[in-house]
Amino acid sequence: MPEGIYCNKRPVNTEEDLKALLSDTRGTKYYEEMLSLEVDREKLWSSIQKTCKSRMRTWLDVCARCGLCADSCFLYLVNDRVPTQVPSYKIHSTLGEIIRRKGDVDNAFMRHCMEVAWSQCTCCNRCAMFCPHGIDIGIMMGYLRGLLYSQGFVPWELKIGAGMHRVYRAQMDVTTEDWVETCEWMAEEQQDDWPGLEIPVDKEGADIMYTCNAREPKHYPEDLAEAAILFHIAGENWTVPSEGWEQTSLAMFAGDWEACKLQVQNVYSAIERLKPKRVIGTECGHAHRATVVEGPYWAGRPDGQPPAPYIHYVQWVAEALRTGKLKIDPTKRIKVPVTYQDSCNYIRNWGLAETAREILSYLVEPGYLREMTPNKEYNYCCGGGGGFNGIGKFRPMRNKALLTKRDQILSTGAKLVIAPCHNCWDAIRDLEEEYKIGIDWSFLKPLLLKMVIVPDHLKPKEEAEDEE
Amino acid sequence: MFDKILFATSGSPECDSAARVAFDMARQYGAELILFHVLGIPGKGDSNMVIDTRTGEAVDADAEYLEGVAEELRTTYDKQLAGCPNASVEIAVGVPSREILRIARAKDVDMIVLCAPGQGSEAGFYKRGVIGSTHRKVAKSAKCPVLTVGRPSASFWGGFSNIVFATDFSKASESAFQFAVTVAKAVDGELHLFNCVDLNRLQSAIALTQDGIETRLAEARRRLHHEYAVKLGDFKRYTSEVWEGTPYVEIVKFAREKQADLIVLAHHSRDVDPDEKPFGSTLEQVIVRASCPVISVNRPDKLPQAAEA
Repeated sequence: MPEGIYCNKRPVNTEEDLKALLSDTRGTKYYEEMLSLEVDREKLWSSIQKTCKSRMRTWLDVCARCGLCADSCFLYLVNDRVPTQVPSYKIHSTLGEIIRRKGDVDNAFMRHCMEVAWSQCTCCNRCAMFCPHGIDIGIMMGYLRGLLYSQGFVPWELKIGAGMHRVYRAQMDVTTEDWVETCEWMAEEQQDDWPGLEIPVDKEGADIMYTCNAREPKHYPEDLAEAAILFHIAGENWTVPSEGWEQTSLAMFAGDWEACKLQVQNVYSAIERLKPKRVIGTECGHAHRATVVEGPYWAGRPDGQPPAPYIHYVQWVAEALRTGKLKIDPTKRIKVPVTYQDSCNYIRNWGLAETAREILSYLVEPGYLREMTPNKEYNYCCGGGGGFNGIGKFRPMRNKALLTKRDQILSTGAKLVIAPCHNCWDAIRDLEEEYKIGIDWSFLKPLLLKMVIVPDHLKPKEEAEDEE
Repeated sequence: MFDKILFATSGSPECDSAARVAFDMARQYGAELILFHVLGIPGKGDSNMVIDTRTGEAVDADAEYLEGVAEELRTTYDKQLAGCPNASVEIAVGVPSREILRIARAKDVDMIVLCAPGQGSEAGFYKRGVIGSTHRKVAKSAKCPVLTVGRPSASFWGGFSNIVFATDFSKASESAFQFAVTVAKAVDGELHLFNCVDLNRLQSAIALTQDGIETRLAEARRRLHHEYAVKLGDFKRYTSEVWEGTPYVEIVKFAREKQADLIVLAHHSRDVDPDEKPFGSTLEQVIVRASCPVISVNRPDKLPQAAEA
């Protein structure tokens, strides 16, 4: 049986197919079918010839297997330093081998590659910081994922995730109507506490267009309300698009290049349609990578830039605090030992470590910040990046990977972890659930809302009068 | 008086008292009843797993499981459902407070019935972030009145006849007042207007002298009269009292003295930060302690019309 009903080389393009795949609980049949999924060797080799270009070939070629990347990899360290977890080995024994064999690999080999690509690398890119040749194995792993996806060897959840982007242009089943309705709902819900608060949809020429993560409208719409309140307090002229509001890309985790392009183009069309001065994304690391860092190349933009300046949420927060648009009540600053989770995607790979520290200088009472070791650009992945968090099949490996972050946090003595990235936030929540170390974790928005000084004219009338 | 009642339940025995009230009300007012259950997701993680209420274990929320849960609910409430023809069962996956608010809005319900916040019986880990705050979040944000049954004794009433309206003179209390009046008129019951001067809020030595307290009592009495009593028109079956102390304690004591079968109040707007209120808000404390159902009303949007009653 070359192609299965659930597990096959076809991407999920319709709602019906998506539901069918979802109905296969935990992908039981999907993985069964994968055992006999045929490898289209010709296609594999021809796509390598078309897409594996000089950078990748040079990297594979010049890697001296010196092993300097070994200690940089938290998965190598946390898995008792087994040699098979050395980054250079991981890529040479998979992508390298496929190329050496000119695509002549079998089903078992492809399944092995899938395991390596999604459970032994989170694409955190930390090894690239240590390679004397500057080789980035995370990038190559991402490329390998693309090859595997095109052959149908992809974890069940990520096939679904990529399908969601294809069907809904969002990582979850949130339609345009659902989204717009959620915006109205949230604005309405806040009316008593924040008279005049709006969530303007499709306003042209605003100073800011805001994009988010589908998880927010789907399950946690208060995150959107919090963003709206903070823009409201800061007096920003902002909007959200009715289409193109979803910034994340599970397609990127899945290696579904076509869906990556479809998704990011949707966001860029919104920017072109509404012509905001700039775009601000939510507290999500991979969303930033997908729409700001890699997206322009997926969309084939010649300048390598999104259609308008596009910044991460921490950049806006730092700016708002610096310029006094948001003012913090010094008596409400955090007075418990607190640490900051540096996300790979916007700290290591986008250089916002000092921006995050600037925010902390406003929010944390001096003396209470406990940095992790290592930190900033050198911080370890939360343990759940690159899609690792969401793959049931690899959950035991993911839980083991969380030990690195657990021990890092424990040795800071912090009681609160500020984690402005959905993936990190999830991983830290999961590690608390798994290992119960008695910590709290938070995005920036709820913390800011507890500490920000609300200008009198924005307070509900009654409350302003009542204050004694 | 109520056309559509949403009863949010975990299906566990701790919701039995609330179930009794919800079904009684649906029968009494010929209302449509939506039996609603939320399967909480573990967090923001990418996951299709939910926590099974009975076993506390993570399970896959697939179609089969959802149908199983719906069937379980029908079995749990089968006697009550038999006497309530216009009832349906709805299941959702998500954060309980958010999903309750979502369906209440989507179905445009007139009343939400909740069980009181459980005391530690929920799956431990989720209690602090998700389930423990369900009630607080729903009561604060719902557009319609929210009825909560805290203690078993609170469910043994046969209908409203003795209603306590407790106010903190907030804007939200106006809606609560209108609701209380409508119910009192509709059932031809008695209405007891009540305010408690919150001594915990009086910090200065001058305010805390007996003269200071009595001045405030007098002022509150005046306000009760001018802001509420004068609006009662022909309705004469009311009393009006102001006590001093800690509001939730006094409200519960007052309700007991008046043998109230319903307490109506607004979600007190001053209790904003739950983190700084380890014992919960006035509303929560009243719910946990009162021996009758407690209805919180914050908004004018979904008040029952006296004419329809």
